[in-house]
Amino acid sequence: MSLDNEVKQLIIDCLDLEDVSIEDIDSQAPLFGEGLGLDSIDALELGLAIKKQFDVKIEANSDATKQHFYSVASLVSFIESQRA
Amino acid sequence: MTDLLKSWLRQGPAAQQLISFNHHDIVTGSAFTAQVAQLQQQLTDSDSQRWLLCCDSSDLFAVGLCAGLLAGKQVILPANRQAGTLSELTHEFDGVLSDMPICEGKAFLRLDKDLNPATSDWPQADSWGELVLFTSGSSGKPKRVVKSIEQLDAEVSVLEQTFAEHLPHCSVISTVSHQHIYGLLFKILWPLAASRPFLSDLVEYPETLNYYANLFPNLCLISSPAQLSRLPDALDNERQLRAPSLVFSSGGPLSFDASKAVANCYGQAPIEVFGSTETGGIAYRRQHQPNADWQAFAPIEIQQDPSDGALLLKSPYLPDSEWLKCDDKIALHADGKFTLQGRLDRIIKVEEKRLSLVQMESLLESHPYVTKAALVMLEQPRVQLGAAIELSTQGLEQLEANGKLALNNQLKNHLLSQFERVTLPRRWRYVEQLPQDQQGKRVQSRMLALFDIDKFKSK
Repeated sequence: MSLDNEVKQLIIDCLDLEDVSIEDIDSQAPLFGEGLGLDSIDALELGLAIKKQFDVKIEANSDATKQHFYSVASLVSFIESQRA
Repeated sequence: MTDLLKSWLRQGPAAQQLISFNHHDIVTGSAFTAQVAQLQQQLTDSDSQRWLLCCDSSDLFAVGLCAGLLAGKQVILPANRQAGTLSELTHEFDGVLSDMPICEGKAFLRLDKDLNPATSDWPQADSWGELVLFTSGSSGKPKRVVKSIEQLDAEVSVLEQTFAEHLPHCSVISTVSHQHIYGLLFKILWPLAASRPFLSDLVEYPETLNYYANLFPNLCLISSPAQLSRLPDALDNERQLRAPSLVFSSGGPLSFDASKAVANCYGQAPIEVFGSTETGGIAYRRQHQPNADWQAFAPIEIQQDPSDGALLLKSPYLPDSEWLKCDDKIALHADGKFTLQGRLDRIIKVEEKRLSLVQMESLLESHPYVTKAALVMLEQPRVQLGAAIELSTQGLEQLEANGKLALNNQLKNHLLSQFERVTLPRRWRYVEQLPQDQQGKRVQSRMLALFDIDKFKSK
């Protein structure tokens, strides 16, 4: 599975999103608010799940974190940058 | 130690009192005084009496709050900035105090960090203003709650009496908004009156919380079950070298497991506070065993309504000294402590956000796709709402044409006009007929069964 799809599947599984499949998630669309429509609690749970599954370090600086968690695409490049 | 807030409001902060901080800057007592004095003058010069106050940054919020109260104005606190929330309140206010223009056609005074007015004396008030908050009423209409300085002062003074000995020179940080009564009291009014600096930003992530916990030896953490129940995992469930001096949890029930897990990381269980917008704080506890008893705050008298078990209380935080009947059912014990046994109405909380199921159902039913709507609380995998919907012909056509996800999202968007995203139903069922018994009443067990399929699907 591509990293892109792996992230999407993680979002669906860890947030238990009913009725949503990988194809329904646009990699470029915002995850929170408009777009996929995740909420502030989802942000907490997703942050934890991403950290566990991909062994990345999330910074205390919320602005940077918000940018990383903007979309699937930004999450993918964040994870890749930490692996590099 | 009475009149803590009132005497602080009379005198203002000492020049060297540290009001607030974040990682860019600090606000000293003298800078705060100058900002309050300038805004108080602008407010005094204005004919508008009722000012909506809404601002993310807690230091600017505190400036607006003090200036409004010292100018004798009514300060209206909306629960959030949702357009629908503000438009529902539009007849309640004449002007807006905010860091951005959020409402057309009203007077507007901007709260601005970069304004540095000349030093000034703390303004003296002829008469103090009051606060107005809104909460969900059982009928589905927002309920207006007025708080005088006397009421707020009583509560701040009692908090200091009850907890001060555990708070040595603390800085206060919060994961909850100051727009609600809990954050307002615990993060703004109490720290101001007791000279404890607060973090002007809202802490949203465990990583940020961790950062400040490591930075400050003495920290008072104002939080809620939404954060605290997820925090221990983020801390790898390990004992932390640096822990807050005191952790408060309010806004909704904290599970015993979450309390234990926090204690495991921080060496002590959170102090939970039970209360509401109308009543203010009622009681507190630390959960050393599941569903531990609640101890009422010293000046609060508790009784139980013999007819339905409802909590009755008399409190100096209330506008009068009558007994108030609450919608919480309790069991009252011989030692005066009590346990909570659920709500007597259809007001619920999702992630600490109080909402009326009646209001959400009627908003759903106002949508052209919906004939009837019924909401149920689901406990797994997290507390959330399930929506069961009878669709109109138009709704059925939409479902056929665009699928379930698209329809879910359309109805969610409709709800966003009045409800915060975090409260929206996460599970949707479109049914031919809502489960009813022969008397036409909804059957809870059959409603829940509609959502049962999830059990088999879950990991």
